[in-house]
Amino acid sequence: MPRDRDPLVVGRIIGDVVDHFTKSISLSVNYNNREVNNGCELKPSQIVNLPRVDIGGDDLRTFYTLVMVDPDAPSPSDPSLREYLHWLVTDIPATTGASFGQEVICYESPRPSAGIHRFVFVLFRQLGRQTVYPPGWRQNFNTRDFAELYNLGPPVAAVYFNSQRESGSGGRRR
Amino acid sequence: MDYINNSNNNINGPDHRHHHLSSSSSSPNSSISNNNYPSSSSSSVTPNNMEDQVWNDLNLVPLNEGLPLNNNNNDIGVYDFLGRSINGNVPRECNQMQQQQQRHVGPVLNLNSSPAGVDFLADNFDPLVVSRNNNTDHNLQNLMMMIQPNHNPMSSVGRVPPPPTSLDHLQDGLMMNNDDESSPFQALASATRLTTTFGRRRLQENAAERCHSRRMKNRESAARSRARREAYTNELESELSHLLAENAELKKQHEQLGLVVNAQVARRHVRKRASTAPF
Repeated sequence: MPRDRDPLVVGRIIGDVVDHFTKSISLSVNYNNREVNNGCELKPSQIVNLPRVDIGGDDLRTFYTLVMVDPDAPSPSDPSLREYLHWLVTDIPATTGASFGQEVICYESPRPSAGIHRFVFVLFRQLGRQTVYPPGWRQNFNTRDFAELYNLGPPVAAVYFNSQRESGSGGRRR
Repeated sequence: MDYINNSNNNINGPDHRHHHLSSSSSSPNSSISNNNYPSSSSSSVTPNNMEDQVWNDLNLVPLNEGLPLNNNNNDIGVYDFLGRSINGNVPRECNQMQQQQQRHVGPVLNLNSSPAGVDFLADNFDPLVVSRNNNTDHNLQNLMMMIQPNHNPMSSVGRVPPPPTSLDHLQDGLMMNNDDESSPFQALASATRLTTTFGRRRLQENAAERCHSRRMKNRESAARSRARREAYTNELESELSHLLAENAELKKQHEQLGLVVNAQVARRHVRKRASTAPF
């Protein structure tokens, strides 16, 4: 697919969260057996619990880090808390899933209150098993800086979905 | 007509303007007699002429009672003659301007104001903002410059003695500049136009700004929506083509495998002779 038609580019994930990269590992995220495609919409009620994340690769000795952020916190028109870190798992062996890794920051159910938020999963390859120190707080996380800090290099896979308030947009502003 | 005269209680009226030079003892406007010049006696004096009467009437209008001195620009409640929010400042001898002093004083000289006169002509300074600037004489000078645009500021103001503690000096300075009977009015009028227009424009600007920013936000939101929709469409299309390809591939494989299986099955059904002799 030509670069400019890539949903990650059109949806501004590449730009706001990460830079251009080449996908090299398969990444599949499933909430209640519903697979997440780029740009699909999920309700907060559907994403309350941990998704099942399966990654590809081939060598069990290669470890990966998974980051889940919300670049549109608290609202897409004013993302002052960009990015809000929802989940951070490290040391995931290739071909396995997130449940096999180390949950550095536990999963926090997204509860978008204003606007339609994007929620992004980014997968990085680690150089080896490494200790990752959790950031002090979830907001204003920077995925690029995080990757640089731990020498993770460019992402190897990413996927995102949209979510908004349970009752949808429109209606009286609370 | 020297409006400045009348707005400051103790400045002499037009008839006297060439004579006085010090604090006048008789003030034409003293019906408004809130006497703010301790140095000069303010006795009630009847208006000298028609113009004075008009000024008196104006001054009699109760100016912002209870309006706090430091009005913020957008919150303009009461406008005085000049369109400035009133603090009704009466020139006073001491530096500490009594900020609650509201009545009777002329609309013009707001001695507590920041040097709005010059500033807002130069850049967008808001004359309606009153700051607690006690630099009275400086303000006054600037005001003078503002209201007498025709005069070379330096020449007209130059003679105002620097830091007077007494307003009398200021009055003197003001007095000296009135060469022409009609010019103060003209100056006043133009100053009025400047301030009211400016005040109104401020409001309009703010409203326009708000409208503009709301429009921009809406535009961004619309762009995000379009991007969202397009991204999803692209994803679905790519998924579709991918799945179609996979499907085709799988079908082909299936067919081939089917052929192989059939062949094997067929082979199995071929009758062969087996040796089944009982013995």
